[in-house]
Amino acid sequence: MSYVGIILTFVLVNNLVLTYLLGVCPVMGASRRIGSSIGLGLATTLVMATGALLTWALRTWILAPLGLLFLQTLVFVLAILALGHYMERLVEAVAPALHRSVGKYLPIVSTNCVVLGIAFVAARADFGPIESLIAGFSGGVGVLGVMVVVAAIREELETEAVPRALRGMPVAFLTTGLLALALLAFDQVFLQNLVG
Amino acid sequence: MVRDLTRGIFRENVIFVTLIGLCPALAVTTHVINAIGLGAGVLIVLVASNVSVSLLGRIVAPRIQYPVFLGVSALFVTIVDLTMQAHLPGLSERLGIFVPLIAVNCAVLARADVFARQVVPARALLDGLGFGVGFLLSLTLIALIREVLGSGTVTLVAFGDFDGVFAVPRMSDNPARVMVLAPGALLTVGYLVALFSRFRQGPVGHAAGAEDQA
Amino acid sequence: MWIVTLCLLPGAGWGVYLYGTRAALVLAAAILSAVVFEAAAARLASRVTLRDGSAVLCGLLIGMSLSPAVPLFIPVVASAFAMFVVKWSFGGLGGNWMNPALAGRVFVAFSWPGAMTTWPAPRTLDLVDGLAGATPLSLVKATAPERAQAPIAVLRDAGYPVSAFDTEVTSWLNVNVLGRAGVNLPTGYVDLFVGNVAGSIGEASALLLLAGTIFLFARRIITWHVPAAFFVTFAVCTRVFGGLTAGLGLFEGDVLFSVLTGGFVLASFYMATDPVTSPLTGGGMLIYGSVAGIIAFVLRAYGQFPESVALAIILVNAVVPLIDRLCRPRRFGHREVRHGS
Repeated sequence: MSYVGIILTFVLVNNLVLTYLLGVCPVMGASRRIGSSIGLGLATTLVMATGALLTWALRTWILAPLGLLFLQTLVFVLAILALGHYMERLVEAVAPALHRSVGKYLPIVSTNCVVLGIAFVAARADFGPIESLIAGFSGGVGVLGVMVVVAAIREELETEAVPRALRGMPVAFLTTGLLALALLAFDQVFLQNLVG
Repeated sequence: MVRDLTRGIFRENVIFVTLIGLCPALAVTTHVINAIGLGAGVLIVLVASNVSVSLLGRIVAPRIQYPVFLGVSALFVTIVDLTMQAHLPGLSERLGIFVPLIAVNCAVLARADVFARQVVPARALLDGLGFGVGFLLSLTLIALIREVLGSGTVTLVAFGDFDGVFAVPRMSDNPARVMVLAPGALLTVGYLVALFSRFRQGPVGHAAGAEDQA
Repeated sequence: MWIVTLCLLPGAGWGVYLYGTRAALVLAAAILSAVVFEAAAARLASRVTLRDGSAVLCGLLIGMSLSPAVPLFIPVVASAFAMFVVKWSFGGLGGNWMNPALAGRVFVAFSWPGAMTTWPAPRTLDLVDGLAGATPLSLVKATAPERAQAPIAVLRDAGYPVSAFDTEVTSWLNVNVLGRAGVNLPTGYVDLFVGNVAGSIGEASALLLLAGTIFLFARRIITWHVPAAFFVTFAVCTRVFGGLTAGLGLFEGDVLFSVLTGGFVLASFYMATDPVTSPLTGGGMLIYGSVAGIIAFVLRAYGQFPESVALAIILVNAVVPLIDRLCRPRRFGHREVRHGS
């Protein structure tokens, strides 16, 4: 698949939140304020891009040569956990301001299913290093977009007379559900027509 | 002790009440059999990880407990994944990346962190069973609603000549396909969460804290 | 809301004329069920809202955007989805961030794609067998990739009929108006404009729908921002890139054909302008309309479903809160305070 195709796939067509339904928890949890949703979304993007690249490297250079691919799950989980941990330290040391807005989310994000999810998706599709990086990055952008859009809608809804039983989480699910409905517009046929 | 077993099924149901471990729950619930398959996987991993964590909880230093718990969970997930690939290749294919993703399922990690590491193995076992069964039942409920509305069928285990698919009269002629697509999952869960909190009444103790956890 | 409903009636009436009682039944089912579901939901929320006419309008819009051949459960489900899920789950009129009528239509379109794209022939057209079941737009989309051809030529080659009225008006126009400017209009556009084509019940006649909008503009129920921005970006994109999917070059797209088909007029004047789900300020409306126009073009050209306008609008509905933040409306004073303090 072309690079443009990969970007379109993971931002729109197979948006990880709205089609794979991964990363729903952070979207629900963090998306009450736009500010925090941007920070969390950027952290997610960062870990997803680097995580996809890192897991590609582990897979190609260590697991495959040693015939240990069956340990993929274990290795990926721990590698990404470590990645989030050290990346937070790095951000804290290099750019303290960035740490307050984005960096502090890195460890939380690193055990999220959306990060591990893109690593598995990239592995199953046999993506190369650049493709993995792009897939991780555009997947993160897709998650970020959904977080910000849902957060903005939920902020608006705070002033509306949402039925009591549906306030909070349920209406957040319904919002994301309607967004997923609209996004059905971008399907595989669309992708094929556009990039072949 | 009995409460260790029962609270996970309804009162603190991970899917509808504490709203954690949702991600794999949403995507696979297009067929009832998928929900049962993944639910069973989570049940096994949850019980095994709870018991191991309870045993390890006192040995492992607090600083490195989290990575160790993750590793334990990933290890059991690998076992479940490989067993499934070997013996139930069809189901394994359909569940795809969602089986390995059990490793970072917040429900498994939360039970290890909040409960299992502080109690004796027997209580951890019951807790794991309760929450696992609660997870399995919730997934099955979501899948039942979505499959009946969205495909007009109920897919169970195939054996012999029977392909395991029951057609629901009338619904199977013109099912609302959207219900088995992603929006259907989110809408179904949204309304079920509302319904559950309505029946439970009282404040949602865990949800407030759980929301902030990614 | 009642006035908008009135303005839609000529277009709806034309649909009933084209397709007979079947179209009337679909419209009635959509409107009735919308009213019943609205009443039920309002009762649950203990609010009375039927008088504002929004339920009737929503039902009418749903009915008008459906094919007259749909089984009657489809308008009922679309209305139920619009009322319960899209509107009342978010707090009723004013709370919904997505256009209920469009969301209802999209829900049934993705649920029953077959039934939603079966188009009977209107009584004014004598369609040959191969063409029954196609709209001009779906026909063009299905045949375009084979040969480099403008859409109207594709229709002629496929044997899509041109009425005597169209031929007469076109030749009159060519002789008296366009000919002097050195332009020659092919036959076929007049049929599209007056609504002598197969399609959804209410989308056929651009003429009658536009006539209704005169009243909407005169009474200031809608402003020019959204339809204008929608039209301009959609037209520019179509002109520049629209020819590519048909094997033509850049700047060879057919704007006139594109805006006269696929429910563009109905959607851009009557649905995109819904005050609840569009931005509050003029600037916001321009952004909203422009983005909708671009998405509508991209989906029209490359998407699976030719009726892309509805999808474009509900996609843009989702970013309206963000647009509103970008262009803060003056009248909400409390938002300005944050800057001041």
